[in-house]
Amino acid sequence: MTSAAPAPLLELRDVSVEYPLGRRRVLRAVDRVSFALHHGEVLALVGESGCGKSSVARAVMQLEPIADGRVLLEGRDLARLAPAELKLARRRFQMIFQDPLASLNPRRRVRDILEAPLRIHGVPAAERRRRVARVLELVHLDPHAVLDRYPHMFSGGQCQRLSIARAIVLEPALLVCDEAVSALDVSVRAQVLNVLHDLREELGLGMLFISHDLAVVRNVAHRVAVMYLGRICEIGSSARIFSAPAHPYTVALMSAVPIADPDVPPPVVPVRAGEMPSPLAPPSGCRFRTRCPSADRRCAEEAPALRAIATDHSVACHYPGSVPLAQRTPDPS
Amino acid sequence: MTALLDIRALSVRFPTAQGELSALDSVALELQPGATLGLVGESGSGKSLLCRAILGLLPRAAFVAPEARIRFGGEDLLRLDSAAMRAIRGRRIAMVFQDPMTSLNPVRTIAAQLIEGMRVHLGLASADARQRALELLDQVGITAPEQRLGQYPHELSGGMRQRVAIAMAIACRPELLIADEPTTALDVTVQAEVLQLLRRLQSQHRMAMILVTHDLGLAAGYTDEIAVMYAGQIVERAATRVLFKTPRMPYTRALIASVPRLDGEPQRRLVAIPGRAATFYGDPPQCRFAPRCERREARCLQEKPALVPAGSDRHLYRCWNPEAA
Repeated sequence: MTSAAPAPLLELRDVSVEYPLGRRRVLRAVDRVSFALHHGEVLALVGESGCGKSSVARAVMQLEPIADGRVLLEGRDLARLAPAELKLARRRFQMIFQDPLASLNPRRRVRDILEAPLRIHGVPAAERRRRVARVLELVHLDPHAVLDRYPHMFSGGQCQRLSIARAIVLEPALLVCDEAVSALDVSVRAQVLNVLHDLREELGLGMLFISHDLAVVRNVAHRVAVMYLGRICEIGSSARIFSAPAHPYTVALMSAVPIADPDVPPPVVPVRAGEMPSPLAPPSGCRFRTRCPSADRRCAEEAPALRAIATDHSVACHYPGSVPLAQRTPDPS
Repeated sequence: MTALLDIRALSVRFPTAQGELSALDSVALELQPGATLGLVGESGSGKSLLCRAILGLLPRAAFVAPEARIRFGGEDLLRLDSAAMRAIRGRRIAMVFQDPMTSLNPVRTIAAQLIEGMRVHLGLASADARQRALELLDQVGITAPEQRLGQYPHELSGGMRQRVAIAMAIACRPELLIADEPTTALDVTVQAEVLQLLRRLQSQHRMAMILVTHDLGLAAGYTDEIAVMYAGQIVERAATRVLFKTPRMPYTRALIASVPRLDGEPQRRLVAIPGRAATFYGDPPQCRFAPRCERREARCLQEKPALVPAGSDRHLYRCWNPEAA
């Protein structure tokens, strides 16, 4: 049982991320998060603002010191690599951000922006030109029309496609997308989602896709992890999570999404009003209990562990499935 | 029934080095008392500028066409002086913005901000205004209102702040509420609560609302009628259900198709609209969507289509080669 399966593309083992606040106080934004992501797979990390999903992304990218736990890329612990080895390993994992214009240097031409990663990794000039032309084709931009221009000459959607092109120019195996389509208009968002779709099919790229938009996640993800207050409360295949969500918080998130159909009644959210408690003083036991309609004494005393309830479906709840997902089908009346 | 708001021939232009930038082009709208109109469009389509025009908050450089009219309860808002407009803005027409911090003063307490408007517009005594402020906070679902009154905006969460902004907006019982992306900055569970709140307040006070949004899902669930804007023009207008069931303008149909849905097929390519919205100068003789339109014909780039009726249901669209009904 030891040698059969290849190492996952990305594996997090009990990863915690902490931010010092001064006077020895510490904010624990991510608390013992574990998951695995396989080659060519899209894992979405969903949750509301402050749940820690972006901190997970930054921990994977080695942009935050990790307080606890290990981040393994293709079986190698990134924190234990020497700086030179880490630089080499970075070719394998790249990231795109929410604000496309802010992530492109305004004073560099597109050609320089796209060639920079290749130059850093010592790729010769002829090969650089060939690769840049190839990635521009993959993101559906015309090399002749874009290479000599500056980022401000492009729209938000085009800039996001340029940052995707830059991210894939080193032929990574993992692309971390932090709210990569959230700032885009709907028609343009569809263009970028389609580019990501093509990259998955043509390059077999694995993606950690961070988003607050469940409809987008439904479109792109094979697997979904739901985070609340620094912890994963439910994880599983997209098919299971969307058809049979078991954690009351997942049910609440899904119920709250408006559906673009006037015959579907507006959402009714089955949780108590209010927002996420402060991560500085998380509730005892289950972190969601202050808003959960199913919470009782046990939830206050004992933190539920993530337990498997079906194939590729685990939930951290003492009463999984206690809040049913209301059917939201068109109501013709 | 006479319309509460009646906008006619509203064109707004800005002089630029490239010529007269056409920011709004012959916009026409009516809104009945108590009704909700969704104003849907992508960034740069002119929806926020239209709201500013209604509120009398157009930038100084804006040039408004002389034939334009914005009638509100019998008066033409475009012809009021600034003192008369101030008496309407905040009292009879109120607004809620995307970022509640733009309407809240960070260095004043919630009490001071809520009470000020009521004293200015309604002439309430301080104690009465305070009592009413407590009622308002309770109405918008804020717990422990007594304690909140003494707090500053930064002490509240985003959802709480937006509730306070809504309480301020409805304090003077406005006839029209303009809500410009009121929930875009909020989390999805909070968004649902805030929209339910707006809807409840609306039916209690028979308040009309213009809900500006880029989210067709929101527009579907919370509006009676929708106006779709593109490059400064209204390109289609219809009752919400009619618009979703039988869109005639290709842009509307493409917009609906490009939204991923929770009940949609996973791992599917979406319908994307190629290209991007352009900026137009003067009054070009063409359909503004034509360069991106898959139903484009020669005429679409030579003549400007008018907003024409689609038959019944007060359904209007602007297109030479519309989708089948």
